[in-house]
Amino acid sequence: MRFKQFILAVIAAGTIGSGMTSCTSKFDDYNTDQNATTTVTPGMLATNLIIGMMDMGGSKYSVYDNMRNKQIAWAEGSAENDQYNLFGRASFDSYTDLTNCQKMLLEAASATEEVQNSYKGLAKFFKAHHLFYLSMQVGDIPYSQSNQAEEGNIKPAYDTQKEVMRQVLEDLEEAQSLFAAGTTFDGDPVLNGDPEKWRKVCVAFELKVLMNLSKKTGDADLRVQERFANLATANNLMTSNDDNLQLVFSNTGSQQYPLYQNDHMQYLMVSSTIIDPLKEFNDNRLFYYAEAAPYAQENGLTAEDWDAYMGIDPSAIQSDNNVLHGEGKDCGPNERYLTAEGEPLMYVSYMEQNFILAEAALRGWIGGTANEYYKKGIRASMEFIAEYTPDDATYHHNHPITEESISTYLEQDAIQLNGNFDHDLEMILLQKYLGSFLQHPENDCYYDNRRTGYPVLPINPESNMNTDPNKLPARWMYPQDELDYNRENLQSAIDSQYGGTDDYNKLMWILQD
Amino acid sequence: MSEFIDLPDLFTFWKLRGSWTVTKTDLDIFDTVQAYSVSNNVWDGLNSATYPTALRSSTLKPVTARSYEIGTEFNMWENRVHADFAFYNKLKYNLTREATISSASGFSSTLLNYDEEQLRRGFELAIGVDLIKSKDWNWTVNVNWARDRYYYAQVDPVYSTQNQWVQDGLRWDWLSVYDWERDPDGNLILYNGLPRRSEYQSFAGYEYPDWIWGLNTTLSYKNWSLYMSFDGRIGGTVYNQTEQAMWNSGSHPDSDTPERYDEVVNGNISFVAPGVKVVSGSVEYDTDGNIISDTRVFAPNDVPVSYQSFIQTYEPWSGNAASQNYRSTTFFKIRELSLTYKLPKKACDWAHLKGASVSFIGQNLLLWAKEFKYADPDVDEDNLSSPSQRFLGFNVKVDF
Repeated sequence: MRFKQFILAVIAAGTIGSGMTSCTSKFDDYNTDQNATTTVTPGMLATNLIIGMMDMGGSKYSVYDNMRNKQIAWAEGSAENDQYNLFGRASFDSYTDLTNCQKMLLEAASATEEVQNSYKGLAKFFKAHHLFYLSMQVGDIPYSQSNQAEEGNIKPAYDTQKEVMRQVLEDLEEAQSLFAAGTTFDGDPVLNGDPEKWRKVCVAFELKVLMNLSKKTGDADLRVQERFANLATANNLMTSNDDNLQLVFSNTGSQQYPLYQNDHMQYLMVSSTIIDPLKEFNDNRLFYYAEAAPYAQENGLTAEDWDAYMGIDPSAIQSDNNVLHGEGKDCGPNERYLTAEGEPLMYVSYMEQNFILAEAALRGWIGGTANEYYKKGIRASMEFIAEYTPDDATYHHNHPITEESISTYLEQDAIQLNGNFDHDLEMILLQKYLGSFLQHPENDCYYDNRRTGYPVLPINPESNMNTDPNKLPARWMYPQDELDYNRENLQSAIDSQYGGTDDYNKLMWILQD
Repeated sequence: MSEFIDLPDLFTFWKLRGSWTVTKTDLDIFDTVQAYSVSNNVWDGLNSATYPTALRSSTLKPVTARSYEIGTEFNMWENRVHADFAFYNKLKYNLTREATISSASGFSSTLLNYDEEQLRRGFELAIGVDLIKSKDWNWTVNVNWARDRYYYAQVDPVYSTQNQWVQDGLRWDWLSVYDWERDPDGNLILYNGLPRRSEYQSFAGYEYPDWIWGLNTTLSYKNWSLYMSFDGRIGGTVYNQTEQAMWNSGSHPDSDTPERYDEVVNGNISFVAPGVKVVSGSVEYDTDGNIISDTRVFAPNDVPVSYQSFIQTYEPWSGNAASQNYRSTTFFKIRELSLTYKLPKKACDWAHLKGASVSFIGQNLLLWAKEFKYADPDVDEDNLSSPSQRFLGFNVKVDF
């Protein structure tokens, strides 16, 4: 009896044992989520990257950049950090977009070589673009060791800003060659996958990067002037507003202009840094940018009168501005910004390219006159506005931009360049600033001011929240997450650049003479 | 124990108990799968996809908890005193965590087992006494007292948050906040009359309470009985959002000040905030926010500002917690009070009932909180919730 029980026990154990091994063999199949996918087309990733780059954000997020470059002031009650120069800490989130670039290239591996070239060019452009702007915010950042988490590097070392800029320029040039050897790719809602147009975008962006390196023309590794001159003469420049990298909004679902039906727009006040020059130069763009001040309209003026537009000083004390807003002595945004179509968001534009070329001609980097590019830039800005605004007095208040008005404007004495370097530089950068109203969401205008002092942005020590009340900050601080999870590398970057303190007012390499 | 040993007559019962367990918790079903998240019709009919920002490791150990508990229970004086004491210790290790990592690596978090270990330790004490036990009068009191705390048994040098209050042996439930800039004596430093937030985090307190206690008592005389229950908490820190929201919107009763009147009615800006201003000098911080060098000279603040501007800066939008609104959750509550009358047997028989009673009940009758205002700290979180309610009522119980 006992033996029999023993045999039965062994047989039972054996059956159970073999049953269990077969149980685990299909485990991986069971653990695959049927509702999610582990492969997608590269086009879908490209769409996400392109729209994500140009996303203005909703509610108040869409205008923080404009507060920072003083094009608008805000009347919600308490002082806004961005308007009063408290920059805070930057964010390294754009690195996670570069992971999507890596996956995009993996997913494209089965496509033809030309299509792959286009996607590779796109990936290089995004890396250069995101990390250029990140470095402009803080200084040294990880570049060569970034995005290696899947290989095990979760604490990337920092590269010097000079190294970052060098790699940015190389990546942009490689992107240009890749696009030249590429073909139409899927997933691009903005330029329809046209590699020729993307090549021009890369060229225009590289011109912007080179101009931001204007203090480093003596550096032999970067060859700033030489590169600029080569690009300017190679015939791959944008030639009209049709080449703009811009996002066109429409009245469909999630494609509406972010200021449309946006409750926060009641607090937007157009700044005197925009309104005063526009009035001084008899510029019709005034009527396209702002609405007449309610106070003026109640006191005998109409929306057609130049004097009905009252600018607000963005550096005045907030409580004073609140009082002015309450009295109606400020201008809100033009009605066209509150429609579903708004105006397209220019990200890399023909207008900006012209002003960069004008500054380069002024500095003697290229042939041609500054005047020629300067006037082309102004014309491009005005034509852009006229093209995308319906011909209705609600939007232009009977001062429409026409071919005639543009010619009259360009001939007036007040805006002419006169050969004096400082004066001309100021005029070029001022016109770039005026053309970028509620446009160009990155901090480009602030970076121009930081680099050259123009356009002149008002500073008021009584309202300035910067740690040095007499200046605008020169940078953002590093992110808290880097401090918490990558401390050693961050600390050595701060020590080598800023003497151990992550200070708002210390100058980064690119700003040092 | 009282069955094995001969106890003195005072003790009528004694028990010792203990337990030791190890339990494991596995991951959720698809946690180790890296899949894209896809959105449809994002722009002009195009779909978009994005790769997750959380990195997954595929060989993960399940979270394991090892816990043991020791307890003892004894009765004295013919079961009139009953005491229970328990001590427990639970160690959780092989924790999996969405550990934040440097975004510059391409991912913002990773799911992994990490070396951090959490220790939960505490004890509970409950004592019940029948103070009076006679034919007509009965009075029982029960008291309980507990302490339950979480500690870091071990800190992971790579993945644990690197700051000064995360170390072996310190409490797990810390909170941190960006405090206002203060001088070495703790006064607010004002710039142009307004306070400024520090760029460095400071320690705000421990979230969970230090002690929890409760007391209930039943007093009965013939057919009447009175039951009362009290409890409370000592310690703990929670952000008092309701109060900050009231300040920020100007509806706080204490914001009715002469300076506010002066500003709104007379148009004069006259509020001078208590604090200091910097006359000269500067300060340098290291990356943790510790001061390396400080040459600042302070003087009492004398810059008048708009009262509204000051309050709206010092008490911002309630989603952005200001350090002065992290309050201790110490409170005391009368949770229940009930007075019951049992109908005498004769009345019940007359109505053909087996038994009947009428009670008057009140719940949540009184709340006293040491620092928490305008919201109930009992709820663990103030999310602009309404104050808790007090109930008064009576009930009738009938047995057929």
